[in-house]
Amino acid sequence: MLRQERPTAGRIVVNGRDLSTLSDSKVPQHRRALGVVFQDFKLIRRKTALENVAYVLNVAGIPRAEQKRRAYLALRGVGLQHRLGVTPEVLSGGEQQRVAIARAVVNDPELLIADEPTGNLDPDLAVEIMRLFREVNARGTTVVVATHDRDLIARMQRRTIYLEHGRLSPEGVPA
Amino acid sequence: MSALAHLRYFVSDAADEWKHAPGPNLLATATLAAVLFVGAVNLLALSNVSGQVGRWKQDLRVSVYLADDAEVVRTEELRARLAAIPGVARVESIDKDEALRRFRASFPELADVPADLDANPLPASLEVILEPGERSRAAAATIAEAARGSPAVEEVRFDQAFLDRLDGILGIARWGGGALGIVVLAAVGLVVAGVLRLAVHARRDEIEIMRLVGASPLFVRGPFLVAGLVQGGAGGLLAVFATEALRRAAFTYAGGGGGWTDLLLGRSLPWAPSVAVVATGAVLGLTSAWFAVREARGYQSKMM
Repeated sequence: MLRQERPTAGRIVVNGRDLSTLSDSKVPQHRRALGVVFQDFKLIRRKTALENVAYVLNVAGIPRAEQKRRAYLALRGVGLQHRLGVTPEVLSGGEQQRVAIARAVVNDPELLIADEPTGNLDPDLAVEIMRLFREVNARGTTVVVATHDRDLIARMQRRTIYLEHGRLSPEGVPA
Repeated sequence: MSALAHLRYFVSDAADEWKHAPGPNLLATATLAAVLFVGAVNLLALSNVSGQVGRWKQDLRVSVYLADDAEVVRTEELRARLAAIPGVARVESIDKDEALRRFRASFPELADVPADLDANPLPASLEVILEPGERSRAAAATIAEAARGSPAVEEVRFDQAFLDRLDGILGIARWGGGALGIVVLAAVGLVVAGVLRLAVHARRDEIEIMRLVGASPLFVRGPFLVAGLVQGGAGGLLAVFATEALRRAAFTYAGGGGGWTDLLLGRSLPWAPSVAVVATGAVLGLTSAWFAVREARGYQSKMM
């Protein structure tokens, strides 16, 4: 969905863009329209929490003062307004994932993709992260979460698509 | 985002990288500085020798040594004839006493030798000073021909041939040094690209993140290119300063000017070659960084 690979068959359409025909030069533009959360957080180690979140806006060409304002609001939204100036190594796993979520939503994307976002977190933190995703979704962003955690899926009570051996199973029914 | 804002981000990110990982950056700068230093020292020697040859040429003269028994009338007649030749600036008469004084001034360690002899062995001469430029070559040949025909003349000496040979050698040294310099710079470019590649590799996770959040290739590469440019320029500046330090140290070691020290290191590296050294460093750093950062295309993990 991030167009890291080009489909060898069929079509993948994300935000109205056909990824099978999307040229390499358009990929950065496509990614800027998405929010992404990774299992291993993927935060830039030498940047502070605020800088990590603001980086997405920097890439998008937002003026500096606006970058800081929106990054602050996003971090406040995930309850990290007191950790703005610290680097990721000082943060706990849960805090790092909250910074990653703030980074993913700071650009108000139409679609947020989360790849095993709770894979490195304990169950309580996993619930907390999923609660944040619910809030993001409530604000109008489509959230796609990839996970192996069936308990979490059961708790979320949301539309579920099962993927087994590279094929989609009928919606809502585990293969 | 404006070009200026882009540039400001590239510079601040490059500076941030220097602060966080000074090791690879210093290594790249030092490697560039070392090579550019060798080049700058060669340029210093070449510019000094070229300058000296040029000054010798400005002071081009033909020495017409007179026979001891030359009549004053014939000598004056010769002097007037030589002064009338096109390309001659003036003609100075050097009598035997003045020749002895000059000899003692030029060779103080041999000052006592003439005193051991019964008479002053040095001949009187006419120093024909030529105007600078190509016209002097033709004038020198005419002077030599005119002087050799006079019975008052013992010998004619003219250093143009020596200066021409020296000029030729300098020309070869310039071309040879230039060609060798290009080969060496290319080799060093590869080494520096290797060092910069390490710096890029050390930030591969960061580059991967930049790409995943939608940074364009220019946005990812910009800070590395700026860092390469600055490293190269800084290396060039260091090389220029080190060359001047070497020149001054050589003078101190040699106990002042004179001889080879003056010929090779008499004057500081002029502005134009100094700027060329810094510019070469900057271009080399930028090119090396460009080659190094091309590898960043491969830093991308798989997900979803």
